[in-house]
Amino acid sequence: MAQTTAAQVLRLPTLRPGTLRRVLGPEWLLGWLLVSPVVLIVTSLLIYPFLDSIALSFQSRFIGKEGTWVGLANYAELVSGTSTPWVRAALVTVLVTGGAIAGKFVIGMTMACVLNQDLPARNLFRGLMFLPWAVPAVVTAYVWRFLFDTTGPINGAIATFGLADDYLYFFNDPKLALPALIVVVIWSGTPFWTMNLLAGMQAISQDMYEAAEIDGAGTFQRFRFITLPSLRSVILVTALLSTIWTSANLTQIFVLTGGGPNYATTTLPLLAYLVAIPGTRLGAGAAISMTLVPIYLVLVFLLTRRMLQQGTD
Amino acid sequence: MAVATAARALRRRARGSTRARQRGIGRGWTIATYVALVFFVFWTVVPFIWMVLASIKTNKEIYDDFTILPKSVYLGHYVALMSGKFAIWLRNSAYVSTVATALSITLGAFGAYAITRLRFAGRRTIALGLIFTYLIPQSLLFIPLFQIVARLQMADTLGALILVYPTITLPFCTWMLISYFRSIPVELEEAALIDGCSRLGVLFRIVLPLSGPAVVVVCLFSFTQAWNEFLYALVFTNSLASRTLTVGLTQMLGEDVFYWGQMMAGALITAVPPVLMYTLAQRMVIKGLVVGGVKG
Repeated sequence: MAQTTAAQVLRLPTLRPGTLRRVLGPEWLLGWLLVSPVVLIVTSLLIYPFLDSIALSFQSRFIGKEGTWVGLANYAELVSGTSTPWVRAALVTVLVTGGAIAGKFVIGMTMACVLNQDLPARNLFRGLMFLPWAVPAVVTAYVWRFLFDTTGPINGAIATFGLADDYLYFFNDPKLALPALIVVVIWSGTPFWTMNLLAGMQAISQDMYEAAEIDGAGTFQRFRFITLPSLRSVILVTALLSTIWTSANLTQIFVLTGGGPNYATTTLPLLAYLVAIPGTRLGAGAAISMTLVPIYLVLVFLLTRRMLQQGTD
Repeated sequence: MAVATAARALRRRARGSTRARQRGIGRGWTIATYVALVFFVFWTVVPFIWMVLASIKTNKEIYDDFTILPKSVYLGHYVALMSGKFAIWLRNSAYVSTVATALSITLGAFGAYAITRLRFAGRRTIALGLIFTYLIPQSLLFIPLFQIVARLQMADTLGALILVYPTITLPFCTWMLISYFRSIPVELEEAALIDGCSRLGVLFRIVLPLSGPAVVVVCLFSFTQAWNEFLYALVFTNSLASRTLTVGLTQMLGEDVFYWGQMMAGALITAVPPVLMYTLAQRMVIKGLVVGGVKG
């Protein structure tokens, strides 16, 4: 009698397998067994570090030392003046991401339109234009560093055609470094846009184009009123993914400029690296990373909603 | 025979109508299309060509003569490269990427099968969690992961990279395999279960063999992601002997004044495995990319 009451109060399922099966699903044991490694790795190496990073951002902690809680001091330091590296890095992040996404969209869309035409050797051209996507970011960065170098072809062309009096030191000039960097980021990120847009275009029903043609719509009108609206969802998802990865990626910047000259190309992720690892201030670095989280949360929320919608269609 | 001919005629007519529609874009637009095509080919290919050419030029050709085409193929940069640390980095990259991929595909296949076919509490939450974690950028995680690696006494070892690379490749492998496993008719599995096959038997004898090409592509993908990874390798290793290729390349700068020849040779070798893999599996890669969304 007493035992039954205890079970009722605690609402414990009795250990009969039938009940467990009802509560946890018919194949819970094997199911959990099979997913447990994935869950374990994701929890201990993705979710825990993420939470740890939040805690770290409220500590003063140096590499190899114990941390002390400092409240919001790390965050206060970031915005204490109008000229702190953080403010500048936030601005650079917006410029690089905005510029690169705009460029990738325009070039990717044009490329997709071209590749969607009835070209000779179309598959060869498609394969070729997706190539920059396959190359490691470090390789891309080095090749472009060479292209922009004083011994490279861009300066070679400038000298040959007499476009400037002296070599252009692209990555040492605060005015030129940022645009040059954006060009490189666009080059390596465009294929991802092209692929998605092209796939989207191929899913558009040809009947719509034929109907529009009968109604007398020109080429540009067909693009403006059929292609573009049909691609809305594809453009949105691609833009969200591309924004997350472009703003978070620091490989190309690290190789091309290291963030210089004088922080002109330092984005927030790179600043976090510079402060935390070479600067050994883990807490301050974590706080810099954390300032990106609210934006990522919004982007990821929009994205997962979209992706799940598409998954159920 | 007649049917085949009719089908061919239909196909021909379909192709004809495609041509007609393409002609419908007008002469001006057709010219614009080809101009754009030429521009895009240049834009894409010139950096690659410049890399290949520079890797076989002599230093004199690169720094003094500024020749575009080398007079002869000079392999000195490759020889110098392979006799230095580069060979170790190459081996490290191959080792780390292979182990991380093997781990991810094995654990990913088990997890994906459970999420796709087994009924148990929590599987939806886990599937959702996978997308979320897949989207967390590395630059948010390297600081806390650095602490974990230090606490486990794994700093500056390849083991650290084998530990953290599955955070990139595992959610991806699992997610891709889920979508492939879903496309396998469930009736096949039910028939096998009725015949007395166990759940694991179904996974190994039916599901995995049926998704063979998909598994290969996911492996290639995962290998490439690990091979191309830079930030974690930069933060978690620091001695020359435990660097991977991507980080090793950055160490070569500044060692030598005349570095472009060797740099380009090194960059070329680093780019070969991912490009090769992409060329081999191009069709499937693009399809998977569009379905799953890959970091780019």
